[in-house]
Amino acid sequence: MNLTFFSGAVTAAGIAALAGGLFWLQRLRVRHREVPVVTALFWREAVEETRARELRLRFRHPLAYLFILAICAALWLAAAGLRFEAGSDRSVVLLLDASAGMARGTRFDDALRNMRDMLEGLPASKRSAIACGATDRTLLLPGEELAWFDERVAGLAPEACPSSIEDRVFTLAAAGADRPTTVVVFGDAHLDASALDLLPQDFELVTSLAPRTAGDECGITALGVTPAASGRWSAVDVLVELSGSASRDVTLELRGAPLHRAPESSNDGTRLRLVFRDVPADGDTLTARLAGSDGLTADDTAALVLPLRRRVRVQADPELSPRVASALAADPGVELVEGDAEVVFGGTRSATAPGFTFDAELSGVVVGAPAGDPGLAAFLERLDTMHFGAAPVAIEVGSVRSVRVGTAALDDDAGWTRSRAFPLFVAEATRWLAGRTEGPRWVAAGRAALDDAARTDDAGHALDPVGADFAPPAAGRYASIGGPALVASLTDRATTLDAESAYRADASAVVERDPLDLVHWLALLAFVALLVEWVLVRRGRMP
Amino acid sequence: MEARDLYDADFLESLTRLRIIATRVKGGGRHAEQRSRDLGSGFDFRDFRPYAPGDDLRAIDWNIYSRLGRVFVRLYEELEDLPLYVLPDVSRSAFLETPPRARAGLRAGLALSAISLNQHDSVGVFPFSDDLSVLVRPAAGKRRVLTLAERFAAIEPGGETDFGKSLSRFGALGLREGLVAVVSDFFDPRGIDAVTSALGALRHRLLLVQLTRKTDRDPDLTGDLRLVDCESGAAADVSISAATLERYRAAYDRFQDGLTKFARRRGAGLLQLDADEEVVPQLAAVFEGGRYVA
Repeated sequence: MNLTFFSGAVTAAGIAALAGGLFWLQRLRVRHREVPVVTALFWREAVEETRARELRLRFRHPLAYLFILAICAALWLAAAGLRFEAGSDRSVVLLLDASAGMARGTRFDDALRNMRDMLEGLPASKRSAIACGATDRTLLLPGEELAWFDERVAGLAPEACPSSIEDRVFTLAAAGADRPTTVVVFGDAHLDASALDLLPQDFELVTSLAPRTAGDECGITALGVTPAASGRWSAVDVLVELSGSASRDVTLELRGAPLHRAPESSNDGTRLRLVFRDVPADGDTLTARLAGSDGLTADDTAALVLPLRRRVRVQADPELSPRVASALAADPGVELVEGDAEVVFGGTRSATAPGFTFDAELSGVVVGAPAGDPGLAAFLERLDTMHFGAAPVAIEVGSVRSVRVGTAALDDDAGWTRSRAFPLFVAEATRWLAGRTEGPRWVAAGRAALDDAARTDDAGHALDPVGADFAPPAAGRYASIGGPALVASLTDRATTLDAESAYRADASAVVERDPLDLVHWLALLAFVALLVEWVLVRRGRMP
Repeated sequence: MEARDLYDADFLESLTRLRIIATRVKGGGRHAEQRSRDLGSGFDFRDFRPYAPGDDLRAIDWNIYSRLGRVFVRLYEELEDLPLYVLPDVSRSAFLETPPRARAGLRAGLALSAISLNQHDSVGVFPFSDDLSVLVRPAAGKRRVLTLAERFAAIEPGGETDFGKSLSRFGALGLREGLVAVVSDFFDPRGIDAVTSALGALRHRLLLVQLTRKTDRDPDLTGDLRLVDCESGAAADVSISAATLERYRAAYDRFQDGLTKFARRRGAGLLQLDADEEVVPQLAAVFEGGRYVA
């Protein structure tokens, strides 16, 4: 049972008020007309069973009272919008795809309209609706009126992000594993049929998916950088990938100005890869833009913050180990200087400047950093991946960053200095000591940005989930703590190609569970009861 | 009420064709026209008995003597009168409505009285309400009709109806057995059992003249009413409904049924006289062939 217009408390209070009012009416004193009669003895017998209503006398005609109360209660429950839900305890969650693909044509409006139609036919206590865009937004909670849905979808539009419907489905399946749930997807979500086989038995997934487009799509599906193949330290190579059947020209813009450079291209039939060589890695934002337009604008542009690749100024002690000196000399990102250095190698340990020193009493490596250093964890993780075979790495707290290495580890007998990992260790340590952070080489909406910077939104609120890498929810610019800003792009191949979902299940069966609306039946019952009462009163069966 | 309201020439003329006939009156009465259990000087032969000294020699049946050699005298039925005791109900309820039931009741009482007086029977009038009074002592005489009418017209409304007390008082008068005509609506607040109990205690022949109205069983009342007993003043609040009327009619029918059964059991006459209709035609209905056999 569900009440559409009144809450349970209001309905109960109304019935109680009706019962009270009818109770007093039942006992109400009436004004009598005085008539002298000669047949009083017969009236006395008749009146014994039919006393006139009067307050403060015994309550009479309880059955008539209950009958009238039933009529009034039926009318009141009809006004409250009583509905019968056929005993099913299955909850229905409607998911609206608010990803970039829904911006094509009238898909989003159509999906909203279909969703609202289905919500109207579902019991309020069992239905809920969620919009799945860059973040999930609740459109309707169980028990809420449909007016709240209309209020919340006002201004709602697709966002430049890939569909997160599948993730949301699995979240719902995990959260509601112990109760029957039907999830209805509205939109063009790309659902993996094999993955959905893992859903619980009582979890039903049905779809109301938008029709596919004609197939003349083209969009940017990848944008990334790599160190320049030419060996130039301050330059990177840029990869732009285009997917789709249409052919469109792409241009690069750096600092808002076109970058006139001919790309190398390769085409495997499904995608076109363009490589722009030796693009200056000066920390500016690079934008790739497609000429013309198709049904989707979110994949017509992509942007990326290029790394800032300045050499680290390093001062090497004259008595520095030759192995370390060789590693420094071979590093193109290092500039050996005699003064104004960012990092000092060798000599005595400084309390004010980052330094790489050696200690005869140590048997391994000690990494020192100020408390709460944001880059320490990522640096240690990279050291761990090198498997350099030296003694274990220890950590100490200091005022500045430092790396201390036991001299024993530098012996040729130890083998570490002759390994391929040693120059990498020196290079990583140099860049960490100098505070260099290049940032991720590609950033896509909805996928984790693999770098060691903490991310915030424009208001400075932290965006990193606890224990996980930051994944930009949608295309856009994100600030960082201790690192460069970050620009994410859609670059989602499934969205660009408007891929057909592998899973489809007709949602019409959900509508068939429309609850029985008791309002009209209650009104009809009250009407019939009033007729019965009228007949009973006319026949003298009721007072 | 005036005497001329109770009778006129046509009224009296219409009564001359009616007679009250007793099956056999108890002996010891005054000589009149009714057959009695007494043997005397009437005209109807009844029996023989052996002659005894002192018997009237004119009564000896000489034919029997010639055949049997024994002397028998012929016995004849004595004709005596049937006293009529009229008990009109003069309680307040009899004077309430328009026209009052008392008018029809007194006309009926006067009519019965006139019939009896016409056949030389004695007539006594004993109005009653909460008690019984003696309006006219039993006496005969055709010319007493006018006197009776004036006495009837002078009757004043009494109090509540109390059959038990009134009839008990009547029984205590020790009057010779006769015909008691009770003219009343019989609406005793104590119920039909009290009425029949009081009537059953009378040693007389009974003629019950019940004054009724159509509205007695089917009252034309509607709405929420305070019904006031016209005699006691007791009030009862009633919301008139079909169910209430049904229960009322059931109570009325029970009352009527009790009265009818009593009359049948007792061998009493029961005449329901509509107070709104002419009295004599209704009265004549119980006089089959102009005779009412008491």
